[in-house]
Parts: sequence; structure tokens; C-alpha cells
Amino acid sequence: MANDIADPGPLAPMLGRPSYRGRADEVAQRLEEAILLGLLSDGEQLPTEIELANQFGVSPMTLREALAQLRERRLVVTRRGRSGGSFVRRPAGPDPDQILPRLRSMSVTQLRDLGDEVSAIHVHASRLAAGRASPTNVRRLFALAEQLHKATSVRDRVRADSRFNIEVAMAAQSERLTRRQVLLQAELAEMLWIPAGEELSVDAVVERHHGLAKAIADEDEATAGSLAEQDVALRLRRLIRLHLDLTEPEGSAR
Amino acid sequence: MSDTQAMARNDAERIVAEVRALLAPVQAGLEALRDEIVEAFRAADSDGRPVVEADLLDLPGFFAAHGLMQDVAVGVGFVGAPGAVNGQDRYILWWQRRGDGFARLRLNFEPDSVDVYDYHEMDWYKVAAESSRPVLYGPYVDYSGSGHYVFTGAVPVRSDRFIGIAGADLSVTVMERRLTGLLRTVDLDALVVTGERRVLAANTPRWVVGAKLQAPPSPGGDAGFLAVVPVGLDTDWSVAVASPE
Repeated sequence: MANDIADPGPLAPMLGRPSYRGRADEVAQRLEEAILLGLLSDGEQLPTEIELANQFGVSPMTLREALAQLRERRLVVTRRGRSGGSFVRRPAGPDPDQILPRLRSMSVTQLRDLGDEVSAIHVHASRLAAGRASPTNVRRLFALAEQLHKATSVRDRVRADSRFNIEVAMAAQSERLTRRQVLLQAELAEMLWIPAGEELSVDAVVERHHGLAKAIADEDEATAGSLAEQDVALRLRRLIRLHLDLTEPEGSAR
Repeated sequence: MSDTQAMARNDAERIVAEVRALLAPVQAGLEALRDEIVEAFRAADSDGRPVVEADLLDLPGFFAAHGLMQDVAVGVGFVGAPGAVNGQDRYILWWQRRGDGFARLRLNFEPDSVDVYDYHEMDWYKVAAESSRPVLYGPYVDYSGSGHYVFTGAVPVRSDRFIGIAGADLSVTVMERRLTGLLRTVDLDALVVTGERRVLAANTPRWVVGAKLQAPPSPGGDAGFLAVVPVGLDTDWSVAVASPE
């Protein structure tokens, strides 16, 4: 696997990302979450820049910066003129042209690290959920597993699957774990369900979701934790497999 | 009854009275809002026309309720029964506190979207709609709604028919701080716990807020509880006092 980019070593995370996240980044992130969670629907017109800036308590300049970031991520389109404004553009589904290059450019180490973070959040949230979930959480978990089962498009599968994982964090009664999980799902879910490589078995994922929902309903922390751990490991396996397929040298025997 | 038991009972009853006083403005605010909404519907009914959003937008009750509840309320609003407003299947007019002002909450109501915010299925709506009594539901992480860890209080709104609910999201953080303040006046170990065994506040690290007790607290059990008194009102909460570990 040829990856000739010089490795900046252990400082990479600090070099790669500014330690201070500006207000514009924060606003863009909140809007992105709202779009990916479906709180803002496709085609919906955003309030005016002034209104939005007031809502977030930032200057119009900062808000314009945030909107520019969202445009770049193709989550918002801005039209000029009389009937102009900014409109939500919810992705129709994972776009292979965006996702496959990203998956190719990540190293296995980076994928494994993403898996580690997901594992830290999801496995622990699952254990906590088994001790804390309300009957409503439990009902929603089963309903979301069922929604995944019935989903007919890749987009609906991505949504049902990530909503299930987010609901587990909600069942843990933790705002912070929920927020982390939303961000992780935004990064991970589309890569996972991308129609490429060996097909991901929906039935198998549904079955694992059912198992986890049941362990949480039974207040069985140990089983919930180990099922969540297995699930994350299987997901990571799929991503590494896809990555290896994508980076396979031409003419290789495998 | 031993002296300690009598003291525990006394403490629990005193805290219950204080908790009821803490919740009184929530109830008062929502009931006043309910009355204004009923009035708006009656006015439209007597004109022989359906209710539209303009009938509700300027009701002062939303902000009066915010004023009464102060920083406990993160949002106050009206959630319509199917067809109640604009003939829409789902209708919500909800004002979130944002800094010094209020912003209207936006939710996704596309019916066939996987992540539709379907409040018709939410407990706080269902209980208020079906049993026509007020509820205080939670706490829960309302990520698909307001994005906070909240309780939701809901009061049914009806004229000759069920119209919807007047509701408020209450901040768990603010509520916990108030409850803990009350519990701190108790010398023994004390907590406020919900009907689903979830700890809301405690005067000791022995119980973790948000976690669930192994079993419902009852005096004389293994957990050392001396007195358990239900809060009543619209809650399934109890105040429980135990001998220190």
C-alpha cells in the first residue's frame, strides 16, 4: 500500500486540526447536525442571515463564514436575487464519488482509530443504556431496528442505522455521548453503507440491533456492552476490507 | 416508630411541600396558556372558521409562562392534535429560550422521512391526549427536538374536543440544582426519584443523578430507606430519606 505522504508523527492530530474551533465552525457544525438528523428538511429555506446570526448569537460575518463551509460540504445552496436565500440540500444518499476517495486516502491506522473512538462511545453508551433507558427509549430502539429492516434505499438505511446508534446514547441519558455519537455517525454511517465491495447484510445488522435493544430492555449491562463491541468490530472489518479493495495494487493476484 | 424514622418522615414531607411549591409556577403558566388557546379556538369556532396559525401567534401566554418559570423553562409551546391548526396533520408552535430572547423551534414533519419528529408517539403527548390529565415526563435527552436534557410538562387543551397540549421543556440542570438545594437541608441521606426509579437529585454521591435505583425505594428494605413520600401533582416523583451508609 503506497502512502508516500511524510508522517508528521505523534504531533499529527495537533498539526492537522487547529486546537481552537472558531465560532463559525461551531455554527456550521450545529447546522450540519440539524441537516443530517433531518431536523431541517431537504429544500427548506433557512431563516435570513440576520435572523440566523441572532439565533446563534454570532455576528453576520461569522454566520456567512459558517454558511460558506456548508456550501463547500454541499449541504446548503445559496441562490441570489428576489426569491434568493440559503436552502438545505440534504444528500440523497452516500455519494460514492466523495466517499470512496476519502476511504482510500485514510490509512488502516486511521480507520482503526476511528473504530476505537466509536467503540469508546458506543460500547460504554450501550452499557449505561442498559442501566438507565426509559421504556420510551426501548420502544424507539426496537422501532428503529424495524425501520432499518424495512428501509428500501441506501439513504434510509444510513438514517435508520445512525438513528439507532444515536438513540442508544440518548438512552444512556447523556447529552455529551449523544452529541459525540451524532458527529461520529455523520463521519461513519455513509462510509459503512456505501454500495461497494462485499454487500453489507442488512438482516445481520438488524439482528444485532434487535439483540442490543433486547439486552438494554433486560437491563443486562454485560450483554449490551459485548454486543455493541462485536457490532463495532464488524463495522471496522467492513471498512478495512473496503479500504484494502480500493487500494489493491493493479495486477495483484488477490 | 423510632426518633430517626419520625425525623426522616418529617424531612421527607417538608421537602415534598417545597418541591410542590417549585413546580407550582410550571402548572400555573401552562394552565393560563391552555385557557388562552381554548379561547382562541372558541372564537374561531363561533366565527364558523377553522383555526389558523395567526390565531395563536400573538398569544401572550407563551411568554408569560416563560416569565413565570424563569430559567427552569428552556421552551414553551403548543402542540396541535391532527387537523387542529391550518388543517395540518402535525402542528407545533414552540418558543425556545435563546440568550436574551426567544426563537421558534423548527422540526422536521415530512411524514415519510425516517427521522420525522413524530410527537404523536411521544409519551408526554400520548398520556396528555389519552388520559386528559397533565403529565410531567422525563428526564430524557431530546436530541431530535430541542437538543437538551429535559423534562416535558404537558397540559391537555380541549374545548368540545381534544385540541392539543400546552407544554414546556424544563432544564434538568436547573431543576437538579433547585432540588439539590432543598435536599441539602436534610441531615440524613435524601433523594428525589421518579416512578421509573431514576434519580433526579440527591444530597450525597451515594446515588448518581440520571441512574436508576436497583428497586423502587421502600421503607424497611435492604437499601436502608426510612421514609418515602410521593410528590403528587402531575409527577410520579417521590422524596426518599435513608440512614447514611
